[in-house]
Amino acid sequence: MTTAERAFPVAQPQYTGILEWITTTDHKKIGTLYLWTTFLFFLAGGLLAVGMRTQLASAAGTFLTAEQYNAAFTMHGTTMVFLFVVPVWTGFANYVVPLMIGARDMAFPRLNALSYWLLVSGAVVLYSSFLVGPPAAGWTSYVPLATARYSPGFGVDLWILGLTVLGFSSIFAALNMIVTIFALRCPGLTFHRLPLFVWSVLVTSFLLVLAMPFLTVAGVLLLFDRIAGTNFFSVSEGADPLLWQYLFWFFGHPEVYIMILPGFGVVSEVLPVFSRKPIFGYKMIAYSSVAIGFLSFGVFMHHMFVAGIDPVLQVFFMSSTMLIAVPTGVKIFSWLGTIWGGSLRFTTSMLFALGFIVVFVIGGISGVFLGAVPVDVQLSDTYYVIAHIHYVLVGGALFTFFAACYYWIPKMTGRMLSEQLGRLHFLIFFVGFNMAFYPMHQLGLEGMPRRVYQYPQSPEWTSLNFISTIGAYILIVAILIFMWNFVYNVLLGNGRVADDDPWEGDTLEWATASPPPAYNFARIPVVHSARPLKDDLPH
Amino acid sequence: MGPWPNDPLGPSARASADIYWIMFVAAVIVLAIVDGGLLYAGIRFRERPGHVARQFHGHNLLELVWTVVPTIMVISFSVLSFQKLQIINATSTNAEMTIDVEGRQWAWSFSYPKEDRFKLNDGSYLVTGGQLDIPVGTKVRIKLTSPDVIHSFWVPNLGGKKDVVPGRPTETWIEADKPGTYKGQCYEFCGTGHANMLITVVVHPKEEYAAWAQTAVAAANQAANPATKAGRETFLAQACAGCHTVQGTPAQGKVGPDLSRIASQTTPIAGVLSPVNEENLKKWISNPPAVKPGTIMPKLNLTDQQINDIVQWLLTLK
Repeated sequence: MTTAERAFPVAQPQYTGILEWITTTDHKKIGTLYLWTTFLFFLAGGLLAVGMRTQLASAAGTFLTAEQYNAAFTMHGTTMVFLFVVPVWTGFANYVVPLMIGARDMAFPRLNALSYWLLVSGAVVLYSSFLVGPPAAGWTSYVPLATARYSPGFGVDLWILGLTVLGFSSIFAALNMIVTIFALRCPGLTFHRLPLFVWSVLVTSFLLVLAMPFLTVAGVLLLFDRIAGTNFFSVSEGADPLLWQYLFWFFGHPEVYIMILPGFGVVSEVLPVFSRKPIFGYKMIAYSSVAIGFLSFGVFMHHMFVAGIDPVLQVFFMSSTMLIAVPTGVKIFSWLGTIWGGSLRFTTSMLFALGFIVVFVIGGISGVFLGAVPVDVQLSDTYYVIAHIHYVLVGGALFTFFAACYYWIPKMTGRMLSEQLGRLHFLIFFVGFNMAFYPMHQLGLEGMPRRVYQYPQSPEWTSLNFISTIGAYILIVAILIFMWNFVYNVLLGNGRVADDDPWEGDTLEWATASPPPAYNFARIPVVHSARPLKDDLPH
Repeated sequence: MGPWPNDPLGPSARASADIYWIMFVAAVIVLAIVDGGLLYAGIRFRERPGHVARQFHGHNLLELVWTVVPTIMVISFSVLSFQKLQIINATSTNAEMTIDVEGRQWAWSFSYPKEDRFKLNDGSYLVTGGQLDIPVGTKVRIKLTSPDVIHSFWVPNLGGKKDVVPGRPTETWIEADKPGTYKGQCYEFCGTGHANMLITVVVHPKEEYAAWAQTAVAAANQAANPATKAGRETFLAQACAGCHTVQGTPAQGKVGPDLSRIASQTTPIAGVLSPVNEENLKKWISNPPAVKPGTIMPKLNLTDQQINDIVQWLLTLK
């Protein structure tokens, strides 16, 4: 690896302490703020889920009332999607992408700070609904249920306002990411040498910019209906209730890939490093991300197969939905090809990446089942769908989140996490996850509807629900182990000191110190391959 | 009765199950390949002394195979699904009976065909709530409407679900191979009472269906006695029906006691007021918490006339 002189202004912090964090425009500090904030909301969303699972442990549970349960699943979904998974990847991307492309910061550092503070503002607006009565129309807020007539009060209003603010946060962050990746790559870092995590962030950012406005528009129309008396969704004035669903899912399906593509990127970084091998089929993985990005806009109506849409649309969207399994399959097989013939090191990060494949393949396959209209007319809106989205999202986003944590926290903090605790965390998490969510497939096949707070008429569903609840409690243990691992080794400073490249990685973030200095690189690197740290060129 | 893929008990559910099992076999094969591959690689290629990673970047033939084979698989699934979809979507072809179903917050009502066997004394036709009775081996077209929010009609073992969309009529169909009682409920989240929006489909042998219709019509006639019609209508229009059941009417609430035979009830009203007569019923309905502190039945804002109408009607329910 060689380096090049390049002038680049680095903002010097004007303040110290907490004021420094509030006013910072350093991508690493903003990334850190993102990660802390989103993890906090992960815990909040998780607690809501534990409340739901406690309620469902028996057929006629009384832990929550119907209203509380409905609010819990509404806020659980909204929190996990908008306040955890989407922004947590923005956090990792913020921290890692400039390092990976050999840059000293994002293209627009102040816009970057604005994105973060909009995230906080949106979160405050959304969670302030707990003071006045939280929204309870589901994270999808279908109309007419979410209109003022059927959901009076301020809950849904705050939900819309919060999501609108969060939408702007995401759009700004994504635009910033796109410009950064196009404009600030260091000399020699062509698109065919770009780390696959950066590729996935790039595709994700385009999806965010293109999809998010549809949610914002739908939300604003609904808000007008609710507070200004307009009739965009008023059935009595001739509006079609499906309008909301078209708008919502045109955003909502790309959103799924917004949540999991960065996770794919993490896995594409972690597997080759711990297999001591280059990635298998680099171009196919990069291009399949792009293919998934395009296809993701053409499958959204599979969420509406039973809504009474035209049969021609059913057939078109069935085919496009199933087709998206092909580029996804390409990735899975390429990852298998990556570990094949390698020399595998089962670090915690590697275990989470491999665990991701096991879990995600199940979620991908159940997705193909749901994509087939004859099967979907049976399984939609049952617990099978809940099983599917959690295998996709917990697999695609949470397993990969932990893989990213164990992989990059040493770089970010300069401390190694404990591998013993990490392996324990993985083992308990893997068991708890499958206990909590695998039984839901069977519950769905047996016809248990999603979003019900009780099921006294079908006591035969109790035992599987009970197992699922125990699984949820086991997940708490796993998360606590992770938190302790972080607190003890990083915050309390007991962990081994991380050197610059503890995993023998070969991308640019490992070329600088751990943690990296404010300016990232003393000299801008010049790269000659996709694995710059493996280049044996003279320095 | 097992879950629908194991026990599809009607042609529509069977069409879905056929696709399910084909895909299930393919899914098991794919899972075995991926997880088997992971397990093998994890053991065979683990880091150990003397073992060196082989450095390679790809394999064109393999990459072609795992792009083309899955493409062929999903196209096959689409074609097969398309064929079965013709059966599932044929809601009106050869339908022998049509039921108009209204899903509303939070109850179902089933309007039977305008045929003499379902005709009531007042000229209207049989409407039931919560429970739908159909003959075995008969294709029943289900036409769905909603006056409020979106609901979804599904009886798992009998056929595919369909959303009930306000302002946008939809339809599906069910047919049962054998007599019995089938459970279903609302599958689109519709608010507080979503979990209680249950459906029971009772399938009668063909030869017994006429007898059931006669009994049902007689019960409905009694419930719809013109002398007490005002009371019945008030009862159904006010909050009463949300919590109470009266057989033969759309009132199918499960929160409060079943009032189908309230007039011949020998136990006290709400366990405290005895006997069941006009005076006590009026006293109770006027202000339940005053009679029994802590009762979940609230004081309803009914006029004296409305209370009188309701009580007159309740007294006919024997």
